[in-house]
Amino acid sequence: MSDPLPPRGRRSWLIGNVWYRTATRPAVHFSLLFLTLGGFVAGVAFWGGFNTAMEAANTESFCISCHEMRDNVYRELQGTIHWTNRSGVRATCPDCHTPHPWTLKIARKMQASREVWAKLFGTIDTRQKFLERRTLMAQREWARMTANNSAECRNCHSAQSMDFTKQQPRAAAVHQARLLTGERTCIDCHKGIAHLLPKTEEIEGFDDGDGSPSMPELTGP
Amino acid sequence: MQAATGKWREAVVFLFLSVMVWPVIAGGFVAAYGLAWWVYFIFAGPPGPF
Ligand code: HEC
Ligand code: HEC
Ligand code: HEC
Repeated sequence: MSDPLPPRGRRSWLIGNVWYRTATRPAVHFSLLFLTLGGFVAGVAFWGGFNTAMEAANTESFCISCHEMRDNVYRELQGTIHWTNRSGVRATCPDCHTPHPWTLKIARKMQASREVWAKLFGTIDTRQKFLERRTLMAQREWARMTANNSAECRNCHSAQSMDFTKQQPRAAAVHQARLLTGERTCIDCHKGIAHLLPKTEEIEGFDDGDGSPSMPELTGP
Repeated sequence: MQAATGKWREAVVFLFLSVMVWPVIAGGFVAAYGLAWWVYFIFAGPPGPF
């Protein structure tokens, strides 16, 4: 504060600004001890708050806080194996739809900003509109899961831990022939396990992955 | 009087920097990082390996 101001002609609005001068000069009134502690505490609070907010946006209650998700996909999830099962494990929306690694999660959240946009413009605000766009949305999700080798499914399921003697013969045979060889990934064969399938006849070259025409037992609740 | 005013001003600047400026910069940095990945996936994707 005691520094003289620069001579008149060289003073700009910024350099001459007393707040700027306070911010860019060594503190006169507070000790380094206090300032570093203050910065440290603020940093911890920030990081905690940031991750709390991110986790809050990664819960099922957040996902179904809009009627678009609650009245369509959430309702359909009820009654599937991932809603109730003998093991008592309940898969929630983020278990299947958001990546776990931090970087990828952030990137997915950025992508989701377009979903906020769609919400504002009511892109899928009726069941009818939702059904019309479902084919497109499902294809995006399939493409994503194909590209990441069904990473979200594999957070819970692991091919290595499958006991083929306990699976139905059809499942055991096809898993050994196609899954273990890496020829196919879960989503190639297990579409529509959590929600109703879109009208697949609309999709050119639709393939449920195992070469058989359909798997009715697994296509929806 | 001069000193008291200076101390008050310094405290305000300190709070402003630690509670507003740096958090906004940090948040912006994370957002820019996420955006960069997102843009990268548009080209390397679609839809990118995640
Ligand atoms: C939160 C963990 C979790 C995630 C994520 C998850 N599952 Fe499951 N899944 C389960 C549990 C638990 C069961 C039921 C096991 C039991 O009790 O038989 C199950 C059952 C299944 C079944 C058996 C259906 C039946 O009728 O027996 C299939 C198929 C399946 N999951 C496929 C998938 C696919 C594909 C994905 C990825 C899109 C996925 N799961 C993601 C936990 C999960
Ligand atoms: C090549 C196609 C294919 C791939 C890839 C595949 N599955 Fe399957 N899966 C099937 C078929 C077919 C069945 C039997 C469905 C039926 O008969 O109802 C089945 C059944 C299952 C079952 C039930 C087993 C039982 O005995 O009822 C589970 C659980 C399962 N799959 C999980 C997965 C997971 C997790 C992945 C990825 C790691 C995966 N599958 C990859 C085709 C596949
Ligand atoms: C067990 C994994 C799983 C869970 C849990 C799950 N989904 Fe999905 N979801 C999928 C898969 C796989 C698809 C791709 C389309 C398909 O195969 O049905 C999908 C597709 C979607 C779509 C695109 C439209 C459509 O129907 O294809 C939306 C939106 C969606 N999910 C939202 C949600 C919400 C919201 C929740 C929580 C209530 C949820 N999902 C829970 C696996 C899951």
